[in-house]
Amino acid sequence: MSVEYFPGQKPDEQIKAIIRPHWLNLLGPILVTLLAAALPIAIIVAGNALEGPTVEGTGRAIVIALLGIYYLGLATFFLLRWLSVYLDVGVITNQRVVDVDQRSLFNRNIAELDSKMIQDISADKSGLLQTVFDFGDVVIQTAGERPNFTLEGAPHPEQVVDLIQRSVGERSDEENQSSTDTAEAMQEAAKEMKEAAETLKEQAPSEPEQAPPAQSTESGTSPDEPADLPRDYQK
Amino acid sequence: MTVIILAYLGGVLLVGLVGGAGVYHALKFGYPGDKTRLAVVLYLTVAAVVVIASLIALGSTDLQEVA
Repeated sequence: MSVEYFPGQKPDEQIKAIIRPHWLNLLGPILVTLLAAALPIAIIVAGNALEGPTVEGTGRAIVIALLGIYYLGLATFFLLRWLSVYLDVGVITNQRVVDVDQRSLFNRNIAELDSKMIQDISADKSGLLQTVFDFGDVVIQTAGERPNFTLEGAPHPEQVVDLIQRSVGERSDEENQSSTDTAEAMQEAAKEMKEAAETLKEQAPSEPEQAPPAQSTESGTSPDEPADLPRDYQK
Repeated sequence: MTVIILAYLGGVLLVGLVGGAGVYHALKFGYPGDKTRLAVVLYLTVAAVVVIASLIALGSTDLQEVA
């Protein structure tokens, strides 16, 4: 059973590559999560070190309950942020480029671009992180008034550009080859038909000699001609 | 103590609903062989550890306030 990477994927469509954003696109959420996780611990450690007021009894139970909910919420926050980045997928096939944009939970946009509509492709790396770790945006310029297509945060964007260009080129070659094959097949068929016509012409019997003019008789037929054959019968 | 535990479980339930939605989303839109299943397993493990540790800590708390 083949895997469906996006809705509307055709059975004969070849998946060339699946591109997910570089993990550094999650740097912000990672730092926030780590800082938020360390904050309560830091407060408790600091409180103990400074010999601040201790929390006992009911207060302690409430603090424990709140911390439990806090850390559970933090884990959930990181899961959702990770999903919004990881499920951002660019799919390159032999026919088109598909961008699955996971904006937030249950908010997903899928855009596709036929490779015939691709005018130009470029890789865009900006900033220190993107330059050092080799990730960035792949911008695809389209024909007509359609807005540009962008695969954001893709690792090795130059390689992605190269892959898309090769995919477009291969499709163009396939279509040209298909046109050439069709033209050749038609030429072959025409040639065969011509040969068949010539063969038939060669096999056709020579025209019979001109029959002598019919002598009129009382019955209207010539004496040598069978009575039941039409007058203008030719073999 | 019972009230605190019930309130705690209510909070866990609310957060768990959001987390559950995330888990469902990951399993629905993940592809075979990718990291979504691993992420779900890790999240559920962390969530279970946090909840169990919290309940143990709550259970071992002495509610008699220090004068």
